[in-house]
Amino acid sequence: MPKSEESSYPFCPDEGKYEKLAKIGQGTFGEVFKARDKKTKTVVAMKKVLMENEKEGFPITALREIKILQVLKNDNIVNLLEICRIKATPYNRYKSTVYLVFEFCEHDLAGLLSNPQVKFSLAEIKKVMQQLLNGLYYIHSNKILHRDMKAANILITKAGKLKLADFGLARAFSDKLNRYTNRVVTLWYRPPELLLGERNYGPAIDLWGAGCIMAEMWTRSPIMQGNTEQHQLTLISQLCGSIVPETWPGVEKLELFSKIELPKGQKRKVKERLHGYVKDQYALDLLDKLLSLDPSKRVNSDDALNHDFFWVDPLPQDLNHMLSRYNKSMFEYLAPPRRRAPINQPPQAPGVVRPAGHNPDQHFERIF
Amino acid sequence: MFSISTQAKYWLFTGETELATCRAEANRSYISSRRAHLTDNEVASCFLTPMEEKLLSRQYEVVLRKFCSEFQPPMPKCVIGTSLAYFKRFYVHNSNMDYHPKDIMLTCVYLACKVEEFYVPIGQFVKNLRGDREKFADAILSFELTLMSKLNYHLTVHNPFRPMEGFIIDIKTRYKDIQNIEIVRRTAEEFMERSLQSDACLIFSPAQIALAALSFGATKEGLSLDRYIKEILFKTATEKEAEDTLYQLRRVKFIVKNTESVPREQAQAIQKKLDQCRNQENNPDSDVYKQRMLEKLDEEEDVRHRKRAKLVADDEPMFFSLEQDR
Ligand SMILES: Nc1ncnc2c1ncn2[C@@H]1O[C@H](COP(=O)(O)OP(=O)(O)O)[C@@H](O)[C@H]1O
Ligand SMILES: [Mg+2]
Repeated sequence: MPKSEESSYPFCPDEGKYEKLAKIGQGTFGEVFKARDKKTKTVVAMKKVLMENEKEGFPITALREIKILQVLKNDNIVNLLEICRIKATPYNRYKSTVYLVFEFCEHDLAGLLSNPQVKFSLAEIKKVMQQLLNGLYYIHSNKILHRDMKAANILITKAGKLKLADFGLARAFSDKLNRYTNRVVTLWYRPPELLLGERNYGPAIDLWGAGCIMAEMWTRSPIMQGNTEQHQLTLISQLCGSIVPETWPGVEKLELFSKIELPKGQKRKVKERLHGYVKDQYALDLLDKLLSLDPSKRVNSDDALNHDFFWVDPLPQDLNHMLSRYNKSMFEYLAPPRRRAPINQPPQAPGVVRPAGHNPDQHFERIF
Repeated sequence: MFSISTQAKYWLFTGETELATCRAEANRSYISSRRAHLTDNEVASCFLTPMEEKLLSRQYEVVLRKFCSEFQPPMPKCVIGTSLAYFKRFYVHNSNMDYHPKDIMLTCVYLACKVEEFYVPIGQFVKNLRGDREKFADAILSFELTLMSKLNYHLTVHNPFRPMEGFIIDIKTRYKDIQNIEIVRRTAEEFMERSLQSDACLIFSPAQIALAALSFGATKEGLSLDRYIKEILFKTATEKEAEDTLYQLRRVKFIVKNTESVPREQAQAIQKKLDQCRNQENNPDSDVYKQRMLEKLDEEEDVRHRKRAKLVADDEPMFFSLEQDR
């Protein structure tokens, strides 16, 4: 006789509902598998919620991710299908595991960019950026900050639809004065205000990340690969000019402004430095606006979507045709370690490949 | 947005009748899974009736409220509202005999703290309890996943507190008939408090509850919000919609007014009966449960689980008696 709750709950799936096909991701917080619904044959991605070593029970970051994804429903946001719990039984030694089950996307942007065979035309880059900004516009109008923009968290289906993913660091924001943690966003994509200790930040932090990703569409690897927060700020200054109150009024009030050594006398060279990769003037102009040091002057997603870049020839073009050439999934996890960023001086220390494992703050912040 | 929320979609019932049907089904299903060859009379004397279950839940809602109101650090109202909503939702489809309300109650509060971003580490959380705190922590953590899955991971709760502030501002700016709406605030808030002790949040939208509270407060002051509702709030809607809302508000008031408190002796008698018929597999103090924990421990290395071992070995019953909490 089934227990009442099982029969009256349509979507509490039983343990054997999915079969795992392959591991496709290993983030700071758990593994991601490609899996298949045994009955319907639908292919899904299952993200395991790591519970080991959780003194505080179900991780608050996973709670936020669930809460947020249950409200966000948009073409450019990864679709959470259900939560699936493998129940504690004698067979798994009474350990139960929770999975977030997502619609499967064939690629992530980091995987695509690390494959030199995959070439994006200007029109296709426009399509990527348009969808990315559209996703940001949607979440920001729903008062959600993503806080972990990077190429690996941008998924692309084989039909060419882009989906923002990984809401593990996301949270709701308000327009009031806030004190959020500033230890968010993978170092290489972290905007200057966070690096300087700002805690009352807003949607602009995600647009900095969008700028880094946009540049990466041409450079093919992250444009500023700092080893430390100090180093990251140095790289930012070398690209975007010295961080001074003349160009960024109020920056002197940020907690770390006087405590960190910032390069002096640097000129802003966003367009010059990127010109070697990016020939399109409109693209350079939008990049310049996204990579604005002062968050209050950084372009927002709405204005970015209205930028000429998207409205002059060549117009954005669907990716499905280009992607149809590839019959294999491309994910960061499956790609060979990414090469050094080409436009950075000084080069990063040898052996430092990915930021996640090398940033001791990262894990800490993921928990709180 | 409430209208597209999981609350509106999955956790609003048509009324007390539907709720009673669901609860009776949970009760029946628990009993039928373990009555074996008992006669109906024997069943009645061993197991809780749906009515007894309801009284017990109500009683534990009182305990939950009290726990929250004394909680240190002081808790925002939304945490209390969300905890109670979880607790009520849980017992729509589950029997008190399957999961003891004392375990579920604390787990609801702990989960609500996290979800409402009122973060209190478990160690600090259990400092608000008297007794073996480590054991409480352990029980809360071990029921957390069960609670979440029984709630179908619908964790966002829309409480009536914010809508009430919204209506107050709206009345101030758009309804000139009432000069000083602030005078009804206290009574309205009392009404909301009382509504937490009823099934209102399983039947009505937060906006309906908030409006009913204000309308109740207004009446007490000899004022009326009917014109505000008909001519301002529902200006563009049909007459029927406005009338329907007024009808719903009366329903809210009726349901909230009729929340009776449970006499102590009766609650204690039910508890005693519960000790006999509860599911021992979900009882952290039972041998089956401990045995299972030990099996789990055999395989695990980390410190937390070794701590657990110490815990299950220790035999003191996990307490949450009603006396202590009066
Ligand atoms: N829905 C999905 N479809 C396909 N791959 C996915 C999906 N979700 C995540 N992945 C893959 O798993 C990786 C890690 O998932 P993510 O949600 O970013 O978790 P983490 O917090 O561990 O980084 C992603 O970079 C991506 O490669
Ligand atoms: Mg990720």
